[in-house]
Parts: sequence; structure tokens; C-alpha cells
Amino acid sequence: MITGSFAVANSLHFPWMPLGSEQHSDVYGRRSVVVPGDIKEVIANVCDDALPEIGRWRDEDGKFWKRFELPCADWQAGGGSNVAELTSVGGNLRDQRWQVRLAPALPRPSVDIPSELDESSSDAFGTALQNIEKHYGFGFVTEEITDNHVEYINDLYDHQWSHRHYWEENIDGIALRSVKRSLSRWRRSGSRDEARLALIVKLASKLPAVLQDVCQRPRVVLRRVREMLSVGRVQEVDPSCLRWLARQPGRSIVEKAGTRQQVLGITRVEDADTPENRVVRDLLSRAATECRRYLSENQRFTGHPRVLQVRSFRSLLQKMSTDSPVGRVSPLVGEAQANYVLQHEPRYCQLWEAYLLLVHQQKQQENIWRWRERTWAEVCGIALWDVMRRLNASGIALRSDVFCRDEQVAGRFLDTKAAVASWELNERELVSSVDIVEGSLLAQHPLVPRELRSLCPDFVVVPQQRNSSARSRPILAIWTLLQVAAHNEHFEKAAEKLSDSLDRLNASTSVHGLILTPRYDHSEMDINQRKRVEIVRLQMPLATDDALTNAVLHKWRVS
Amino acid sequence: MIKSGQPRQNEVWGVSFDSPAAHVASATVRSDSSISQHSARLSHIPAAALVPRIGERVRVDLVIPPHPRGTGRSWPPEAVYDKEGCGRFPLMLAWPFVDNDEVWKWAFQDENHQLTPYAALAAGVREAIPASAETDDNRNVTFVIPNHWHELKQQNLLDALHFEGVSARLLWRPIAAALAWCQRMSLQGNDDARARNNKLLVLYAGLESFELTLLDLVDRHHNGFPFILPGRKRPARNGHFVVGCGYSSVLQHLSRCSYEFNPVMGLGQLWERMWATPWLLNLLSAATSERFAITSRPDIANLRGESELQNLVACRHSGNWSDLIRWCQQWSRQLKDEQIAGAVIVGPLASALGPEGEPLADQLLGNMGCQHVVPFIEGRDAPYGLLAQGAALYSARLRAKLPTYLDTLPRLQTVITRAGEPCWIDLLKDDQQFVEGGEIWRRPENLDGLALAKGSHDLKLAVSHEDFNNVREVIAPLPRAVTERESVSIAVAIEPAQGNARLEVFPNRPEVFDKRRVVFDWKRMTELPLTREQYVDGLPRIYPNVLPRLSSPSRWQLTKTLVSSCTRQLTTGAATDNLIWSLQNVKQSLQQKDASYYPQDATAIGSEGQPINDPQVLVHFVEQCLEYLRGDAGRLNQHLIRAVAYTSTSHEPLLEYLHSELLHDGQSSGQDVVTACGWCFRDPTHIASFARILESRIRASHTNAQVWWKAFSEMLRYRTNATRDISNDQAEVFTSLALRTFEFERQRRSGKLLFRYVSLVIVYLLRRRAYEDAYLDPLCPLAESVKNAFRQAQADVKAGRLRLLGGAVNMAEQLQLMIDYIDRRGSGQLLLDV
Repeated sequence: MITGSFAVANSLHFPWMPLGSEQHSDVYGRRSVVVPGDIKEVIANVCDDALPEIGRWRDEDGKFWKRFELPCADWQAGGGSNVAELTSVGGNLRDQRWQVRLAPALPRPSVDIPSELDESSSDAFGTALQNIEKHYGFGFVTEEITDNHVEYINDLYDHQWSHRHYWEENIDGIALRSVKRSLSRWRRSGSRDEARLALIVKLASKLPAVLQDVCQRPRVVLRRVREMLSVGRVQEVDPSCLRWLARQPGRSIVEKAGTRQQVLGITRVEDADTPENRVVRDLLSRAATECRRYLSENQRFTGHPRVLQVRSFRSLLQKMSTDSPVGRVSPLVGEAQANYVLQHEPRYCQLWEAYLLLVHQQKQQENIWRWRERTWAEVCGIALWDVMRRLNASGIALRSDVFCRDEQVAGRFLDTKAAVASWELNERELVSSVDIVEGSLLAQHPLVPRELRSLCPDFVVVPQQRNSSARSRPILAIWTLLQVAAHNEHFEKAAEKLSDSLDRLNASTSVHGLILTPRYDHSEMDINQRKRVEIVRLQMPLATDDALTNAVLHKWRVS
Repeated sequence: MIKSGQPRQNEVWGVSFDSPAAHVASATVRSDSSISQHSARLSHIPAAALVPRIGERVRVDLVIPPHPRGTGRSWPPEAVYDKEGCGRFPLMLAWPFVDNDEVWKWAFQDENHQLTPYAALAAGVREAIPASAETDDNRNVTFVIPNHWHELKQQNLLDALHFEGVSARLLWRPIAAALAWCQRMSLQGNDDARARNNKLLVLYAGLESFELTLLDLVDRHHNGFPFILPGRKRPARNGHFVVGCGYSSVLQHLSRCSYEFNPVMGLGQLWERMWATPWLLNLLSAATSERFAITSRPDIANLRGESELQNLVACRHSGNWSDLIRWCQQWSRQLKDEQIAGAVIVGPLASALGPEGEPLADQLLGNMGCQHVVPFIEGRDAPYGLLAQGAALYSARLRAKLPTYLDTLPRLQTVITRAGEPCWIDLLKDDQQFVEGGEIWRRPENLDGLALAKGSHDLKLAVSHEDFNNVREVIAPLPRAVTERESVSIAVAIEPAQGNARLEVFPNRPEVFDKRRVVFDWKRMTELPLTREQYVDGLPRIYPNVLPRLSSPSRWQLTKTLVSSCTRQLTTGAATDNLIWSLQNVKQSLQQKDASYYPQDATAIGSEGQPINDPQVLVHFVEQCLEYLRGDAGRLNQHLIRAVAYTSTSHEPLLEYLHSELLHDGQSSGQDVVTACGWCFRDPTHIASFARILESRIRASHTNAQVWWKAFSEMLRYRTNATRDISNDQAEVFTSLALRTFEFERQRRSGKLLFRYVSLVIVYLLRRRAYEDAYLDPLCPLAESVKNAFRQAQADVKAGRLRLLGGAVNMAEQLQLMIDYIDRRGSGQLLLDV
């Protein structure tokens, strides 16, 4: 608990939950902490970046508060800790530290399955898979969502088209794209019908020859080793050898050499246990993990040349890990450091570059996995744009900028600084224009009710009518949740509370809520309706799912 | 719209942002040098640059729907227009921003951005031409600029264009209009003698300003074909007239329309209507109808705050119709004697109606007294985009190697040292002679008179431009420091309207720069807080300025009557005693100084020998005196000479008389003759003769030397060329002799007249450096001796052991100044003789 003069609720399960809500350690949810508003930022010891701020508001007493989102706990095979230490920066409580409980860890199916399992030993693999699916069913869906999103972002970042009116440009790690292009690319990404060209595919085509060469003929060093040698073979001794010899009984060498006629001497042996070979060994291990992940992800394209190439590459990796001298070197401890050989020796140089790319990608994936709730929110944001497209929206919104980073920041690639302009709808009898407001920009929009800020929605959809006589449509506040069990009792209660909160809002326009969550089980209802809040279960791929569009239209038509 | 795609060979473009609807025109040069043209309106909304947020390149918004940034809407945040600025910079507003040296600022949440008008315009040009044309390195794009832009603005824009990857030329706005007019006249068969050797009136009727230019029409033949070329003189100061009545009328219209539509429309919505919708373009395209007319008394304050509305157009100066009419009437006086062949009216308001419903152009021309001139009006007689067409035609003619237009170069001056004296000289042409537009003009002779000081790393050049009050310094960085003092010359080249002149430094010894080229870097130009005169005064000098005695009108008024009276007495032959008394009165009156001129000397007649008025009075007096002197004047002789001496007359016969007397008597010349020589001699040969006699006189005897040193010092301090005929050796001898006397007087602790005269002789002999730079090298033994003597005198003065006669001047400072002059770094006027 925080050691300060104020009380802060520890790790609220859902973004809309108020201070002092009931806590349960085993509920997934989307955890956050609420702190006094003068604290500038909060740093957690489990992630690199400061915690993302997802809301700020003043309560009824005029006190200023901020809500920061927490990452999920990391999965560790032996069962890791779900507790993180937070540090506040700025404000009266500068450098205060306290501990919070994170959402329970979730294994990544393609990574955290024991590596000795292989689909070749189908029985064992199948059993393990069933166990994991039973306990962590949404892990597979979650991984599909994050992987698809990363692939979409990479695609968006890497492909730059010039157009006179829809400008595209890459600037210092940020890709500037238009909403129109981003949307069309997103829709295409949902209809993928082949194995993607992932980094591991590129490595599988580029590395085998050099990897095989290095593993079979690794760079070695000559080490001096003291061992018992026949007297006639001793060529070199050192003070230790002489001391040993002095301690032996006898007056001459022959007597001291004993019955075996051996004395302690120095020999030189070739040793492959060098820093660069440890890096190669780590590369073998990481590449094998990535191969497994890729093959698991592309099970439906088993005959695709890329899949075949990766499978062949994985076999090579396994062989090199077990049969080559590199497989027997010590494991890498800590972070790999570039040395002269890795940077300038032609064979190792190639492997070093591949290693860096692989490490970078895996770090990204680890970070995204930790912040998967926010990645899901980003996916839902693009899905909301797509809803507008489905409603034949046009106009200025399509020319808005999208700032896409090449690296995620707390699970998000798209910078919320670039807000999308109003969507002009052709369905004028319903609404004429719609603003989709990101949660971090609620204060910037004049029509978003002030009271809504404390509930910290991910998005607020603000419909507007040009014709003042038209019936006003409700504002839609949208929350996204990735890890919610279908019939979780705590979540049901929280949703009820949210519905009550929306009902009590003192806003001129009524506010309805949507909670977007992936559909893990086909038996689940698309829409689970309450008084003011609906839980909408979305089917992957999102680009082809109508549930969100139907939910939005339903809210506007019925209200 | 010009279609993008692969550029055809010999395809060129002209771009103009002089109206809210930016225009682009293309032209193709065929193999037979004929030119075909195509013109188009570029934008569907007023062209505007989007201020970059994340370092992206500047984008220019031209189409509907607009990009959300800076549209004035309430959502998204980047669209908002408020007092912190706006993310949309309409290109029409770039012109006043350039004129006021301002940048477009936009504060947005925690972001602060800004955009220069040059970057905005350059991005506009880039967007206007096909993407494939950007890589063309042959300057196939011409952009139209106002007539009053000086080189710095041109260069800033060219640099911004270069940054955008556009290789473009700039063209004056009136020239673009005139080229389009000339071509149309030629096509219509009106290319006759009527147009030749006459003038063409070009009026730009813009929203923010009106600009009038009178161009010459010059007849030229090229390959046997006649061409009429517009010729541009340097712009008149009042030619560019910011009136703002266009914007006032537009704002009034906007305010009225908005009120009818929505009485509570916010400023953001007004901004959106003005700059992010086609409203303004539609309004101006209807300018010929009665839907939009210039209002005589714009009243925009009735619905909104006037200043708030003016923020919409970034315009603080609200002119009105009467200001515009008055300006036209001022022009009528200049235009009445001109043979005007035609008038071209361009700009967004060219075809607009005036307050009384008559065409604006007719009313303005009428007030200029040019009712008889048939105007050619953009939007009425030709479609909009005339300037872009003219620009494209210019590019095409250059591509076809045909003559384009004639231009005059700007007045650009620099300081060089001539005969040791810094002076301003023209870098470019000093007159208004025409040069060929689109071609590089080179100075026929390199600019000499410059030198690199020993150890210097760069060469600084002071530049004075007619458009700036203060002097600026440009710098040429050298490859390495020079080890010796090196004389250099500068080659000058400039292309009219294409930015800064190119100045290249050439050392007299080419090995100094290791065969590397050294050019002046205008980006390292700094503005100095000095006018031209102040700059020259502050430059270190190798010798002091002459210190002439001024003519005092009040003293001359008093003296004139005495001189006239004396002349009458001389003419009538009065008694000798009376004459003596009268001559003494004249002498005293001439000698008396006017204290009101302190610290400068002023007497009734200055050292130039010219009274303020009635010079004949003096001439008669001198002639009468001379007549007496040539006869036997007896007792009168010395009085006559003294009286004449103090007139400092330049009367040649008298000077010859004095010279002959001096030569005749030599060392034994009387005090009166010596004194008269000192006041009156101005011919270098006379002064040289005096110097020779002085040397022998001083060597022969030290008695009564003071009058000789006094006379010599006066010659040196009054006459600019006094040392011309004195050799270096002679000058050094005089310096040695004077130094000996100086030391003698110093040791006697006497800072009286003799001390002063020899000091003056030493320091004014430094003017010999004007003829031979090597005179009295600061490190030579003699110079060191002089400096040591001066330093000891300084110490004596500080210790109170030496005091000047009178004591009004800070002796220590003056001695230091003299040392500085010997060391070739003097600055300021010597006041030792005051």
C-alpha cells in the first residue's frame, strides 16, 4: 500500500470503477490506479515507460484526480509475482512508492508452451494444448489479435504511397498516413489468405547457410589448461605447476612423477565458449521460438512455401542446437554486448544483425503482451472508424492524419495527438456527423459531458445533427476489455454499476455505454444488454464483423 | 488542372499565388521555338499551408474536403482557430507576413509550431507542379513575386524552394503581367509602333494591397524578329501601397452573410468560411457582378469586433476607398507627361466593381488621369491566371533562348579604401541602365581596394542597400588564415530578381587560397546598428582626416563691411595710417573665431577661402591688396600680406605672388609671408616648395621656427593633397625634425604652441600614406621613436608635468589617437589644434 498521507484505491479492476471499490486478486479485467491530480506521472518497475494516463477529472468536492492504467503481470513458468511497485513523479507525493496487484498473468500460447513439445509428438502436444486452452482459453484469441495488429501496423508503416491529397510520409520513427489509407489497408488486413511475410520468414531464407557454417566451424580460442601429462610431453609449466611439483615426494622428476610418470603441466585446447558463440546460441534459441510461433499461427497454411521454409529452418535450428559445438557453449547471461567479432567478422556480422532484429521484435511482442488491453483498445478504435465507413461516412475525416509509431508505447502504436475529424454521415435522418473522441482527449471536445471523464471511457462517440428539429441521438461511451470471462460474476456486477453511473449522469444528452470484448466462445450472445450498457462481443477478424456497427445503430435507432 | 505524370521535354510552368485561387500555367517549347500554353486554376479552396506538427514537410491544402488542420472547426483540436493561432496558413497571407518579417505561429495544447511565409510559398509551388517536375534541375518553374521584394526576400524564397526540391526562377509581378499583355497584343496584331518606346501601366489590385508599376516598352530585334520587351526600373517607394480596402470589403461581406446565416457564428466558423471553403473564391469570381463590390466605407465593426475580424486576414492596416483614390491622384502628377501605351490590371480585384457600381479599373485609371488608356483587365478581357501565364511564358522564352524582359539592378554599395580613405562604391550598376532579365550580369572589372589583414580567417564586406537604413556585413570564410597582408579583389555577378549577388574573392597571389574558391556567404550577414555615414566614420584609418576651418556667416557679416570699407580706401588711395588702421581691423576681424562652432574652428572665411555670400567683396579686396603689393607698398606691405593671409584666398595671382616671394627670399622670408603661405597655399607644388625651404631653414637655425612649423601644420591640416609632392624621405625628415622639437619642448615641460604645431606636422604627414601606403611603417624605428615620445608625453600629462596651452582638450587622449594613427588604426577626429 502507498505510504503517504492520502488513501488510494489499489488497482481498480475496471476503468470506470470508483475509488474504494471491492478488490479480487483473481479477476482479469483492466486494472488502473487513481492518484491525486498533482502527480505528473507514475512509473512501474515492471515496464520501461511511464504508466499511461487514461483519465483526469474533478470530483464533487473539487479534488483533482488522475487515473493511470496498469500493465498485466508477466507469465513465468514457475509462477511469477502479480505485484508491481509504483513510483509517483511530481506533486506533493513525489517519489512515493507503493505496491499494487496487477491483473493475473496469461501465457502466450505460441511462446510459453514448453519448448520440448512439438507437433511431431502429437499426443503430448495435443494434451498440453488442451490444458492451456482449458485454463487460458482467451490466450489464443488474444495472441491472434495482437499479432494481426502488429502485422497491420508493420504493413502501414512500411508501405508509403504518395498522393496529392492523401499525404504519406515517414518522419523520425513516425509514419504519417491518412485515415482513408489506414482504413483501406486495415480492411485488407482482415482478409488475409496466405502466411504473412514475417521477420522469421526473411531470416529463414537468409540465414541457413551462414548459420550452419558458424555452428559447425565456430570461432574458437586457445585456452591454457593445467592437466596431468606424461613427463615427456610437458612443454610448458607455470608457478602453480612448479608448486605442485615441489609438494610431491621424491628427489628427482622421475620420483616425483610417481608410478604413472605424469606431472602437472600446461596444455592448450580449442574452446568455442566465446561471447560471440553464446550470442549465436541465443539466436538459435530465439529463432526456434519464433519459428514455433509462426508455425502455430499459420496452421491453416501448412503447404504454403513460407511455412515450409520456416519449418525447414526450425529443423536446422534444432539440429544445430543439439549437434554443433555452438549448442554446447554456456548460455548468454544478461544482455548481449557487441564485440569486435560480432561487428566486423563477415559471418558473425550477419548473425548479429539478425539477432538484434529478433530481440527487438520479441521485446516488442513481450511489451505488447503486457499491454494487450491497450492494444485491443487501439484495434477497437480503428474498428470504430470502419463503422463510420460502413455507414457511408465521408468528408473531412478521411483526410485526417494518422501518426503511426514504429514502436509501441504502452501497447499503442497510433499517437492520439492526431485526432480524427468529424465523420459526415449520409444518413441525415439519423445523425449528420459523428465525432469519435479518444479517451485522452475528452476534455478537448465541447460536447462530451464533464461527468463522463471519471468513468474513463476509451472512446466517446458524439453524434450531431445539423437540423435542430431532429431527434437527438445518445452519446456513446465505449470501453474495451480483452480479458473478460463470459460469465464472470465480478464483471457482471461492475457492468451493472457502470450502467447505473451512466443513468445518473447529469448531461443534456443521454449517454449510453458499450463494452467491446472479443468473442471467445461461439455460444456467447453478440450483445448482452443492460439498462444503459451493452456488452458487445466481437468476432475476429474485426474487419468482417458487423456486431459493432449493429450495436451503434441499435443504440441510435432505439434511443 | 495540370495533369501530373512524366514531364514532357521542354515543358515549363508558371505559378502565381497572387489571388486566393492559386494559378498554374504550363507552356511547351516546340522545336521551332514556338510556344503553346495551358492555364488552370489550381485550388478549389483558398490555397493554404498546413503548419507541420511532427516535422513532416509543409503540405498545401487545395481541395475539398479540406484537411482538418486549422479549418476553424471545434473538432478535432488541431482544427481549432483561436487566439493562440491556427494550423492553417493561407498563402494569400504570406505576402503581408513577408513584408512585416513575421512568421506564422501556432500554439496548440502543449505544442508550439511556426512556419515562415517563405516555406509556405515554396511548399505551394511544390504542390502546384507535377511531382515528376520537381526533379528537373533546369529551373523550369517560374514563380511570381511582388515588385518590391529585395534580394534578401528573394534569396529566402529561393532557399525555401531549394529545400522543397524545386528548382525555380522568380519573376516580378508587373513583368509577368506585361509579358502576358505583350503576347496578347502580338497575337491580336496590335504589336505596332504604338506600343513601342512607350510606357505600360501595370496595376495589381490585390486584397491586401494595390501596386502600380510603370514599365518601359523597349523595341528589340532577335534573329530578325521584332520583340517588344517590358523594361523595369527600380520600384518607386510609393509604388507599393498597402491599402487593405479589399480585405475590408470582403470581411464586411463575410460578416453580413454570416449574420444572415447564423447570428451567433463564432470566429472559428468565420475563419472556416473564409479559408477552408470555396466561399471566398466564389465571391471573387462573382466580382464583376453586383454580388460583390468594393465598399467605400467598410463598416465591419457593427457585428463583430473590428480587430477580431482583421485577425482573419492578418491585416492591421485598414485603408478605405478615399485613401486609394488619393493615392491614384498622387500618381496622376507623375503620369501626366508619360506616353502610356496601355494598362494591365491584374489581381483578384481587377475586374471588381467600385462603390458606385462602375468598374474599379475605370475609376482608378480615371483618377490617375489615364482615362484615354484602354485597360486590359484580368477576369474581364482574359481569364484569371494571367500572372501564371506570364510566368510560364517567361520560362518558355528562356528555354527557347528568346529575349524576355529588361531589368535594372538594385543599388548595392560597399566600402573600399581608396588612397587610404574608406568610401562607398557601387557593387552593381550605379545607374538605371537596363540589363537582360533571366541572364547573369557580371561586373566588368573586379572590385579592388580590399585587403586581408595578417592572421585573418575571413573577409568582411560592409554592404549598404538602398532598401535598408543600416549597413550589413557579409562574410567570406577563408580556407585558412593568411600569414601576410594580402590584397584581394572581388568579382561580382547577379541575376536580376534571383536573390543575392554572387561575390567571389580573388587574391592577388592565387596560392593564398590553395586554388580554392572563396565566395561571400550571405547567410552569415549581420545587420549593424550603423548608418552608412556612421559606419565609415567608425572605420580604422591610417591617417587623420583633414580638419578644415569653417566659414561663419555671422562673422562674415561683421567682417564684410570692414573689408568693403578697406577696399574702398585702397581704391581711393587713403592715407597710409588710415589704411594701416583699416587693414588691422580687417585682419583682426578675419582672425577672430566663432565660438558657437566649437569644437570646430570657424572664422569669417573658412580655410577654403570662400565666404558664405558675396564672394566679390573678397575678390575685390584681394585684387586691391595685390595691386598695392606689386607696387611699392612700403610700410603697408606687411599689413597687406597679413590681411590677405587671413582670407585663405584661392586667388591664383596672389598665390603666385606669395610663391615667388617665398622662393625669392628663401630661408629669410618674413613672418608675414610665411604666415600667408600657411593659410593660403593649396597647390601641392607650392607646398612642396615651402617644405624644402622649411627643411633648410630648420637645419640652419632653430630661432623663430615656430612660425614656420605653424604655417606647415596649417597647410597639412587644411589641404587634402598637401603631401602629394612631398616624398617619403622628405616626410620622414620632417617627422624627425618635428620629433626633435617635440622632445625638446616636452623636456622643457612646455606644451605650448610649438609643441602643438610639431605634433600636428607629425600626425598630418601620415596623410602621405594616401600616396604611398608604406610610409612610416608602424614597426620602423622612426615610428617607434615617435610613439615612444608620445607615450612619454602621455605619462607627463597624466603626472601633471605637461599641459597644453588652453587646456580644453584631453591631451592624453589626443596623444593616444596620434599613436593609433601611426599604428594604422586611428578612429576619430584630432582636436589638437582646437
